[in-house]
Amino acid sequence: MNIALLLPVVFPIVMGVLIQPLKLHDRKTRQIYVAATVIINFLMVLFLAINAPDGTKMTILHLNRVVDISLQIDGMSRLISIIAGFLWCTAAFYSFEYIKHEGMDERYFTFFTATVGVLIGISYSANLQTLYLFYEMMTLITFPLVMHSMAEQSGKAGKKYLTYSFVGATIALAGFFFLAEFCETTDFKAGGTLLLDKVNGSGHMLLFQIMVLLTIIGFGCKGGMFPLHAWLPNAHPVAPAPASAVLSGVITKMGVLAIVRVIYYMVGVDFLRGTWVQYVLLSLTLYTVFMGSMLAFKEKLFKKRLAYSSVSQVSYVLFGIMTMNPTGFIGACLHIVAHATVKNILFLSAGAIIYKRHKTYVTELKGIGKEMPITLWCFSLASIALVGIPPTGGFESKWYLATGALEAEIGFFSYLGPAVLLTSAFLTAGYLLPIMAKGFFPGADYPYESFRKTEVNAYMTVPLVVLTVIAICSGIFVNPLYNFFSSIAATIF
Amino acid sequence: MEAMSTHVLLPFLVFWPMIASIVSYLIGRRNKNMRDYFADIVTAVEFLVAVYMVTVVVGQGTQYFPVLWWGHGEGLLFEMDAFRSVYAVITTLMWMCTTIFSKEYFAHYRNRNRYYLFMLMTEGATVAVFISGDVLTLFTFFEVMAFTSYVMVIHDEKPGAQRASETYTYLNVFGGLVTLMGIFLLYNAIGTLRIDFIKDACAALPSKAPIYWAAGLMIVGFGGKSGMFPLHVWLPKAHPVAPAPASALLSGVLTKTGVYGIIIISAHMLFGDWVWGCVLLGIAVITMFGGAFLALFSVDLKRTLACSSMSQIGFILTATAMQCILMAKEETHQYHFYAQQGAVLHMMNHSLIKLVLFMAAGVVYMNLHQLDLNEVRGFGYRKPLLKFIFGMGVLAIIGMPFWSGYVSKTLIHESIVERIWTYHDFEFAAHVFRFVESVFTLTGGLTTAYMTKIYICVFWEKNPYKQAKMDSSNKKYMNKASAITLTACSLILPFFGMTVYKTMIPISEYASGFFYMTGHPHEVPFFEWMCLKGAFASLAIGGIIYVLVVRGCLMSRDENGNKVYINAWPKFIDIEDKVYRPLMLKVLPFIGAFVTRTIGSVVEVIGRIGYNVFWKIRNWYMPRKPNAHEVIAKSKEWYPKHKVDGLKNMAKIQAEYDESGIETWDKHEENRTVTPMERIPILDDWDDAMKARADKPSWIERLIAWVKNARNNAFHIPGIHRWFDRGVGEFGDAEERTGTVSLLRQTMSYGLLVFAVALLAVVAYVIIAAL
Repeated sequence: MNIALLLPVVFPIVMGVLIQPLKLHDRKTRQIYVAATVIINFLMVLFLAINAPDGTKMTILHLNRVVDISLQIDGMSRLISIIAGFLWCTAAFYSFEYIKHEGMDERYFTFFTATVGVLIGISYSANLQTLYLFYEMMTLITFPLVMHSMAEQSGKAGKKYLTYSFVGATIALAGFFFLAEFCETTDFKAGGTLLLDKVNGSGHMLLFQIMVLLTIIGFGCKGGMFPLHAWLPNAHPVAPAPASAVLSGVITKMGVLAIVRVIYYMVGVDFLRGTWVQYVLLSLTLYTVFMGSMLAFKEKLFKKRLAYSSVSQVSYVLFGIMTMNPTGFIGACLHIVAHATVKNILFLSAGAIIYKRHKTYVTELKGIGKEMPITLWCFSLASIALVGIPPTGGFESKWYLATGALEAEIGFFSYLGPAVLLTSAFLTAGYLLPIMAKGFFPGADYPYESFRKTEVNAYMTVPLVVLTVIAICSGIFVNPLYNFFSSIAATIF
Repeated sequence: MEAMSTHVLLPFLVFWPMIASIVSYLIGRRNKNMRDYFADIVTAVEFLVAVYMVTVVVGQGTQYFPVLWWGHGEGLLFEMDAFRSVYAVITTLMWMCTTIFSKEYFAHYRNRNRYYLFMLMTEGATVAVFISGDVLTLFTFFEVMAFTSYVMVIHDEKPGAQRASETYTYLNVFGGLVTLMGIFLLYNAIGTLRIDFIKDACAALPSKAPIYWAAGLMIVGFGGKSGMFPLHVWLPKAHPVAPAPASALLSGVLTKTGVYGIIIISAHMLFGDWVWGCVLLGIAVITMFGGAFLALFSVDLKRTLACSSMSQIGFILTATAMQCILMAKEETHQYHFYAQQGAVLHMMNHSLIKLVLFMAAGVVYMNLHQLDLNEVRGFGYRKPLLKFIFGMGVLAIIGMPFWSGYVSKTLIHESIVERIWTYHDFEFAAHVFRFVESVFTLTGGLTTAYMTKIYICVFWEKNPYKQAKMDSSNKKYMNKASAITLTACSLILPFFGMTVYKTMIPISEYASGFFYMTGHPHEVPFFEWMCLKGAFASLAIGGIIYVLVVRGCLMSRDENGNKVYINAWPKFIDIEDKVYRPLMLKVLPFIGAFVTRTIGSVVEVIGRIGYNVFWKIRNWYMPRKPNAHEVIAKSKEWYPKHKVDGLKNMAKIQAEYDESGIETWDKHEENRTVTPMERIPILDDWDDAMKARADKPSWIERLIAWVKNARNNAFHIPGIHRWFDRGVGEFGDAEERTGTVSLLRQTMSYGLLVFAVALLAVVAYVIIAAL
């Protein structure tokens, strides 16, 4: 069983790399190959998530006496790995059609397939060094996806992506040494392993707090948290649509996961709760929430608008984590699910519109709902879910985030937090709903006689519809999810 | 929790129209007529079930149905008590009537299938709002209703409709989110959202502050939906542009969902709260008077009705506020049933009246495709049936005795009067309530005036220009189904008004449980002078206003000397165009974007400075690495003999490099013709270095070579080097690129391959270890 943990990590990487030497030039064969890989991988992840007991651990390698590279499975790993595994399946099917329009299929699928292995590596990481290893690997391996089109703009975006990611990871690495020094072990243990006496004894309490803050900000880079967010609105729009979907939907969550690991599994909430570090983090996340929505509201480029939206939405999750309250944490987990599915739908439908109609600006989308009804239906329902209108998943997550914030003893932020979340939700409505309105209701003067239906084919619509059903149902059938997340929360609080 | 009697028909009431909507859509793709009949049947079944539920509630008391699997916590809760059952019946009745009327009204419309889909969905959601047992259920369906009804408003897709529906949907989203904040605070304060428990839980709180906050926030959404000032802006714009059956529903039912929410605030959360009562009364009076005032100036048939809706909602809110105020003082307790009965009955009456009036206006629009009073003037001159139908609505809404509106208005009036006469707190308060009473009477007068205006215009006057065209549609202006529906609806109004003590009063007493009414209500002598004089005062004022203001100021003679209606309302007084839109679309986004962009640039500049400083410092401490030529030149000058060994090694590495067959790499170097090796001057031990060429290259160099070859041979990525140079190369100096380290760096993203190899090794290691 323990070795099995390695399978979902290694399998997609090997299969992805093998695409090159196997020379899968035939489209059909390649599609079957990739589909089989991601589906088998998802099944493995699912199997492990269901069958592997908590704390199943395997050590790959001892770097030295104390530092090892190990994989472990626990609640958070289950959540993130299932999301990654599943969304990769939908994005893969979507890519089969979409990538025809971008070209360089083999290279794309090589990196695309291999990435999921790395992501599952991150989610299975048992300690900070393993997480860091896979984390850096993720940056490198997604880089070709960002630059796929090789245009001038994607080059710049790719450079920015690398610079920010490395700067973020480096800052996090600096904090890693402190954590390694002052924690019992670098392994992730629910509730944290901080040796508080040692920190107090060392007389460097403030320094340690600063380093923890920096670690979180460094990891926050991948999640698009404020000071290091600027790469995200550049990098996500230039990638091919399915890649931006998973970049926005899943890879940003890896930053979140790393932060969860640092706060809840290494330092421990009791150390941070009520300190200035928590207030700084709360301010940063709330500012990011507002900023992302505000800039998305002002943005006219469709995919860039969605990328700004991701900046804002991932910080909802981070806000829930920073409340350091069980309800807020559950809200954050629910929002991980909600945002991952919804942002996938949004990017995939934006991609479908680009693929069929070559329209990249939101101002050009008049009447698109008549031409591509299924796509825009999915887009609209996802928009509604992202705004947080009940009974969708976005509403449930917002509910727990806000009630968690009100429960938590964070003073003024208890009220400011929900207020900012709702302001941002209003802005979300402001930047997403007009697309739907113009798309479905082009006006009485719309040339009904001359329009032609240009719906995308099943490769693209089926993933969209499946994801939309999940986005809605995750709100209606939220109780099982809630129970699962509260079981995670129970271990760490 | 007490034992709840569950009834399975409650979720049926909600989900039946929703499921049927999809079926109707599918049917509609095949056969339009069948779809219309199917919708009729669906709404009729819904109505019958609602009526049946009334009998169940009367017989067995309040019915519940929890939907545990839905949403979080305890899920949804549907609850049907007396008040809710009354409103379920009214809602379903209105839906049934408008659906029957829709078949004719929409005959020449596009996208009808879409309308039916969303119309039926809205029915389910609206019924769900009225039978919700907790605030979360209420909110859930309130939002669903907001989005589905949006499609009903925008159905025409004309610019006016698009703009109005934009306002409508933003107000809904805004109101919904603010309400949600209020619900968060409420939940945080009392820990429950069950409507049955709210009153006790709120009363038990030591401080009312959180409840005031929650109420103040929640009323934004509910008030916005009901058309309360200052959130009424959508109402006079959306109702006229929506199709008539949709306007009837919007005005008759959807506004009442907002009122339902406000009742929950004022009769549950802040039961008998003096402060809240006064604040709400202030808003209600402004809404009441403002709506009537706007209606008086309107020259659009449906806009008049929409403004009238706003005004009538003001009446209902006045009643709700008066209930709070009357409950707040011991002396006036016994009179609060006036307010409560007035609220229930006026809600009900207004729904039914607006159903009639909007459908009748729909008949006008259906024939003429005009709503301007000067255009539709004289339409009903020779149409007795329509004249009768509309007349019933007019008489009811102006509060003519023996029509239904009179009863509810009298009750509300009585509640204010009792407040004035029974409790003397201090001079100022008494004056305030006297003022409220006079505004109430004046608004009644305005109602009379504007309704008379449109009634006379459409049904009593001749059109000076095209009366022949107006009369051309006589007797065929609506079909039988519509005629029967409209007539039946209009007959309800005098029927209720004439059988007050048999119908209306029992209904209001039956529904009183929701308002926590205590004691037995007094009998009100509706048909005695004491009550009648108020109504006649209003009617008389209305007549005077009509003659003086409408005939005198709001009409003028055109070039042919005919009197026409003029739009005397100054255009610049438009709270939406002058305040909300600029504020929401220009000012606030500008400020927000300005601030965030400024902060963003500051951070970016700091980042760039940091980046530059970092490289500056690095270059100070680590100057450019000298190339081999420079090193050797230097070494010749002053290197001692024993240090030349280092140089030997260097030469050796260079030799290995040359021999490892990396021609492809060399080709790529910037047209380098002379290798550093060739420039190295001959040293003493050159021969030794030459011998070293025979040695094999190290594994890492082979690997790099392999990767390089793989890149160049297998990957075929045009221009990738350029991008890697741009993406990564800036981290290193250009001169370094020939070294081993830079080779590795340049193949960074192909580290994947290295990693794969390493992983394979690891797998092998693990398997061996396991064995």
